[in-house]
Amino acid sequence: MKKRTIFIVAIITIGLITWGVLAHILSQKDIAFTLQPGEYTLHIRQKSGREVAKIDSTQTLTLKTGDYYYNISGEGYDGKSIPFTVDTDTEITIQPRYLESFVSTLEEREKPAIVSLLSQTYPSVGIIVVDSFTIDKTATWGSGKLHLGNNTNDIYRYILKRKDGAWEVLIRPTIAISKLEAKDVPEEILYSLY
Amino acid sequence: MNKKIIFTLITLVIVGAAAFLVFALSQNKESTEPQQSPDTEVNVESDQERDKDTNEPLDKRYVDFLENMDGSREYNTRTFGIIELSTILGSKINEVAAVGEYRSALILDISTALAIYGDVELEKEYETLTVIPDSIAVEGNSKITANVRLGQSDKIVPLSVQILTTPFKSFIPGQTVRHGYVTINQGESAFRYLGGLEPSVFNSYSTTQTNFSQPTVMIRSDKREDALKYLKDIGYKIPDLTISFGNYRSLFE
Repeated sequence: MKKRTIFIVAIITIGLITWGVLAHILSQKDIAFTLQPGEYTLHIRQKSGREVAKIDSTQTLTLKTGDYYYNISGEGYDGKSIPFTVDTDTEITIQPRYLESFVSTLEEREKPAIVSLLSQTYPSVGIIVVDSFTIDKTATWGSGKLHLGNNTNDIYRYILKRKDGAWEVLIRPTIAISKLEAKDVPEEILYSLY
Repeated sequence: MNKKIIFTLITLVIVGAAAFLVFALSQNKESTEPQQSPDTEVNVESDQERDKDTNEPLDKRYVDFLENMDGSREYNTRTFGIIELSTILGSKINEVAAVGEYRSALILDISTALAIYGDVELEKEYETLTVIPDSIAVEGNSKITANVRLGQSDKIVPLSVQILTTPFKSFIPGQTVRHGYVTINQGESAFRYLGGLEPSVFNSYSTTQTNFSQPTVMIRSDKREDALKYLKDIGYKIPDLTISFGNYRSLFE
């Protein structure tokens, strides 16, 4: 009788342990963090605020199911916390955003290079006067208006994209850019030009 | 003794497997809970007000207006259901805030769009296009939807009108500016009529729609920025349109 009781208790204990191990294994999910280029660090925190990981390149982390936050740190970056929930294997793409004040500094710093880029790309149009140059918060898109010489009658809109750290002309200076010819450009950038 | 060990091992395996099965099922149950589907319900409102209104005589101004509509006279296709549309909008005038004093102009845009659709897009296959009164609905306060019957057939196509409102009325003092952006049918077969373009001829530039499968506009003038500003002022977002310019070639091409 005693042996039988011990046997039953042992079986229940082992069953519970098995359950616990399986529950632990199945509650782990793979979260693939894809980090867009930039000099920043990604911090991942539990809802309680405890930091569970810190990465500075694309990688996959195994996290327990639950609610988390992430934020980035680095010079000029917006460190706002973004919530996310782990309940299944998933991918999260991190697109860092700069602070407005930092973007303004970037615009001022890079405007001469933009004028030079446009003049070199279109040498036969005459004197290009860049009226405005704006960089979006991801520092991926540059856009603005320009005119030629003294002719302020026609205003041209242009869109640049940063690739491998350098600006490229994506949409050549055009009076009216349509969505059809700028399919990859975020709409808010297009609308801001009018 | 050996039998006991074997029995114990088998029991352990069975208990473990059962535990795993129960846990896996509970996980599976969680993941198969119905997901919240996107809200695709179309807000079709009942037209109780319309029933009351249709028993009353139509406002003579609208009858005169519709009889003297230039746009529809130019096309062989006739459009019906417009008076009902006007009546419904009249009864909902407070609800459809964007219509306001521009109701007549809006109706003209819709009639013109239907007439051109019947004549040009459908190549006069149907003599009449009819807005089905019971299908007319208002979404939000700036969009009208309805169904249109083609001739006497069972073929029905959807119509939607985005009401565009300009804050700037000084282009043609004393006249209203039109604001209806009409889409008939959908997907690749969509036909689009841009309302509000005609008045611009009074401003030393002209804007016309040149393609009805896409929202395309041709601007003929040296005052290109003014024309763009006009389009913006009557409610169009410029990047939504494909704009070309007459007698102009960009130096950047």
